[in-house]
This record gives sequence, C-alpha cells and structure tokens, in this order.
Amino acid sequence: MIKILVVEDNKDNMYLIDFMLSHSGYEVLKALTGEEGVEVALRERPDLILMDIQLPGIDGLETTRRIRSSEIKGDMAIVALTSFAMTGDRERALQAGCTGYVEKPINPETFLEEIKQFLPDS
Amino acid sequence: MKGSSRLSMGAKLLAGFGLLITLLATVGVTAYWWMLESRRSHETLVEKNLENLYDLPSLRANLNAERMAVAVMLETDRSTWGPWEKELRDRPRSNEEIIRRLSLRFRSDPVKSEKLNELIALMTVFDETREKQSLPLIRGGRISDAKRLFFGDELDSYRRMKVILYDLEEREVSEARNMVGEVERNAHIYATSFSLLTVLAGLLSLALAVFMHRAVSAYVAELRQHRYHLEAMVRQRTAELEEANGRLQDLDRLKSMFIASMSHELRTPLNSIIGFAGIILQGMTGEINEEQRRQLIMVKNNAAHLLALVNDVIDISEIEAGKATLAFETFDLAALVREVAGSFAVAVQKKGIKMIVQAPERLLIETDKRRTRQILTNLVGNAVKFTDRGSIEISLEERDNGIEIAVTDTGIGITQEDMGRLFSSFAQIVTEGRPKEGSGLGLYLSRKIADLLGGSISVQSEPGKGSVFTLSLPSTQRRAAA
Repeated sequence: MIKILVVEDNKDNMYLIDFMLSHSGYEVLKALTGEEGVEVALRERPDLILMDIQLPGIDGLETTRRIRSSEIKGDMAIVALTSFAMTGDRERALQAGCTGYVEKPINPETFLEEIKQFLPDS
Repeated sequence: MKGSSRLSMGAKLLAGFGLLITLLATVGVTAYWWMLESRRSHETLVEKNLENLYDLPSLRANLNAERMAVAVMLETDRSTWGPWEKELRDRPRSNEEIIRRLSLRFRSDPVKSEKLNELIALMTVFDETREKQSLPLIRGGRISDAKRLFFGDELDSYRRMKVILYDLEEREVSEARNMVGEVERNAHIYATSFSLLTVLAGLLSLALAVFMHRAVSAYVAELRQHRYHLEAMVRQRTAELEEANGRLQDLDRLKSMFIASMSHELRTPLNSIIGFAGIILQGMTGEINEEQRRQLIMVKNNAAHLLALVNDVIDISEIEAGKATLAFETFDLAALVREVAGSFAVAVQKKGIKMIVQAPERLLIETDKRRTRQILTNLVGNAVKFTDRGSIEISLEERDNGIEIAVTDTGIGITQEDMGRLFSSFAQIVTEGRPKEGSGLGLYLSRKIADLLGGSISVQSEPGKGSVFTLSLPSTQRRAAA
C-alpha cells in the first residue's frame, strides 16, 4: 500500500486531503507541525510527502530541507502545496528540495491526477 | 530693517543718482543764470557810463567853444562875426539836449544830480551874462567893458562849471574803473564758486559711491546670509521629509504585511470550503440530489470568486509594495492563448457566442507565464462577461518591438465617461439589467502586471458595438522589469 505523509496545520484541510487520499486507497500519515513531519518522514519513509509551506514553528521549506539533509534514500518525493497568489513560493519550494508542487486551493476533480505523477509506478 | 532695506535697495540707488543729478543741474543752471544776469546788468551800467563819458566832454567842449566864439568876436571886426554868432546859437541848444539826457541818467544818483543842478544854475547865469550883457556890449562897440566881463564874471562861471564837469567826468571814470574791478571780482567769484561746486559735486559723488558700495555690499551679504539660511532650512526640511517618508514606508510595509497575512488567513478556510464542496459534488461522500448539487455549486462558485478577490488583493498589495517577484521563463505563448480561450469554452457555449483564436502555431516569449495567464484570463473573462451575442476574437501577432494580443468582442462596449476610470481600482461598469460581477480589481491589476512585465494594455471601444483590449508585451526580458 502506498504511504503518503501530509504535513498540514489546518485540521479541516488535513481532513479534506486525508478524505480524498483514503477514499482512493492510499495509507495516510499525518503531521500538524514541521518538526512532527520530519520525525514521521524519517521513521515511516512514506512514498510521497504533501508539504504545506505555511506552518507554525518551522515552515514547510525548512522541514523539507531537514528531511533532505537527513534522509538515507534520496528519491523520496516531496510535493509542496503552494498558494496560487504567493509569488515565489514555488521557486523557493523547488530550491528547498521539493520534487514538485500542487496549487492550492485543492481541486478535488484534478487533485488525485496531479499527485499521481509524483508516485512510484505501481 | 532687513526687509525694508532689501526692498528699497533699487529706490536708494535711484534716489542717490537723482539727488546728485539734481544738485549738479541746479548748480549749473544757477551759475549760468547768475552769470547772464550779471553780464546784462553790467552791460546796462557800462552803456550808461559810456554815454555819460561822451556827453560830459561834449558839454565841456561846447562851453569851451562858446568862450572861444566870444573871444574871437572881442578881437575881430564885425564882418567876421557871422559863423561865431551861429556857434553861439547852436552850442547852447546842443547843451540843452545834453543836460536833459544827463539829468535823466543822473536821476538815481543824488550826488550827481546835485552837481548837475549846480552846473545848470551856473550855466543859466553864464548864458544870461553873455546874452544880456557881453554880446550887447560887443555889438555896441564897448569892447573894453565886454573884456572886463569876459575875464571877470564869465571866466569865473566858466571855471566853476569846468570844475564841476571834471568832477563828474572823474566820477564816471572811477565808476567805470569800479565796474571793471567788480566784473573781475565777479569773474573770480564765479571761477572760485565753480571750482568749489565741482569739488563739492565730486565729493558728493564719492560719498554716494561709497554709500552705494556699502549698501550693495550689505545687500549682497544679506542675500548670501538669506541663501545660507534657506539652505539650512531646506536641509532641515529634507531631513524631516526623509524621516516622515521613512515612517510612511514603515506604515506601508505594515499595511502590506497586514493585508498579506489577513488574506492568507482568509484563504485557508476558503480552500476548505471549495475543497469540501468539490468532494461532495464529486460524489465521494455518496449520492446527492439535484437541488443539493445546484446549491453546492453556488457555494463553490461564490467561494471561488471570494478566493479570486483575495488573490487579487494580495497581488496588488505585493505589486504596490514593490515586493512582487517575477519568474521569467521561455514558453509558447500561442499555446497559452489557446489554453486560456479553452478554459472559457463552456461559458461561451452556454452564452451561444463564438470564440475565434487567431494565433500562429508556435510563438516563443520570455516573460512570467503565470502573470501573463492572469492578464489573459482577465481580458478574455471580461469579453465573455460583457458579450451576449456575436463573437470574441483573440488574435496573437508578432510586432517589431514585441508581441500583441488583441481581444475583440461584440459586447456592450464602454462609454467615453467610463473609459476614464476603466483602469482604476474598484471601477465597475454598471449597466442596467446586468448583474454586478467581479471584484472591480481585474483591469486595475492587469494593467499593473503588464507594467511590471514591461508591457502595456490599451483599449478602444464603441458603446453598443464592442471593445478591443490590446496587451503588448516585450518578447524578451533583456531589460529586467521591476
């Protein structure tokens, strides 16, 4: 079963993403802060991490950098959840080590298709 | 003092010059008049004097001639008397004339008048003695008696008259001498006065020059001081303005930060609303009926609209704060134009209008793709919104200095009145029977983005016929924008 870690501080958004992913048959791991995200990522080794950029404490960029600097396997996909209007978020996310990005607000019609391209073929 | 002396500077100089010129003119005119007057009076006096000096000796000569005539008659024969008797008739007559002239001229001089009166008295006696006594005696042949009279009383009168005449002549001569002396003295006085006045005028000029030099120096010094004062004031004001400006910039940063963070806070719940509405509409939570679908679509659309508005506000606050970052990349603009047109396919179909895209197969451009899409979406969206029949044409062309995208519609058009505020914030064109849509920020933001990308947006429109919005963009970003 494919494991996806969602790092998102907003509980409603977390519920939304969790609902869609679980509904589609993925195993969902949840982290509400960056620190928690680093810990779960290193422990559980998910196939994909969905990383919100704006987080309390350390933000999504820092969290990504920490995971990238400590992970053993180098091919873990980290996809940033960036806001459409936040200029520069995507560039900064890619610089911090993200594999790609998905724009917020999440469009339930296309979201699953969008993340599929970052998942290992299965 | 400062103000008044500064103001009267020119007046002071003028007054100084005026005073000097008036003074010199007065001196000149007075001196000239004085000289003329003096010459005139002297001329009169000299004339009188000369006449007297002619008349007095004439008188003396006449008397002498009378004496002579009598002397000849005493010594000669009666037959030779003719011319001498004539002399004795003519000379006294001439004397009367002379006496009349002299008494007129001597009128103002009491001493001379008295002398003249004395002379007249003597002359009367002299004439009477000759006419009544001497000449009858001579004619009567009583020569010795006549001689006695000639060398007696007559000689005595004659001598006394001559004394008076000499005295008067001498007076005239001395008067003439005095006059010459006076003229010489006057000339000396004029010369001295002129010299003194010239020196005085020179001194006054010098004084005026010194005064003016001082006044001008003071004025210049004052001006200089004034300028220093102004410079200091300008420096102070500049410092104050810089400080105020700094405070304003701080405030502006705070405002931008506030708007940015507020907007982000608004966006998170909107994401949830749109997301959950979407999930339910997808049927992931189970079947929903038509009414539920209808209402959920409204929830989703309104939330999406609100989100677009929030995004516009964030964009504007970023651009206005100069914090907007651009991500330049080279991409196919023709494809982007087709993509944006495609995103309105459903809406266009629903309204029953045509959408035509005229673009080359491929047109590469280097600019910010996301921002370009924002502008195109806004322009095409407006065209769709305001066109109920006819068509919308999107044309993409390469020009010498860049590319041009024209969005032409056959919509309601824009009145001249609305044209002016078309690109200002929250300017919405209100048309009767047409619901208000959009944030009113679209064109305002589009133009700001176009500026940011080094391009521009222009518009041409005719009410009732349609509008053409043209976006011009540079093909490359060699000149770094923003």
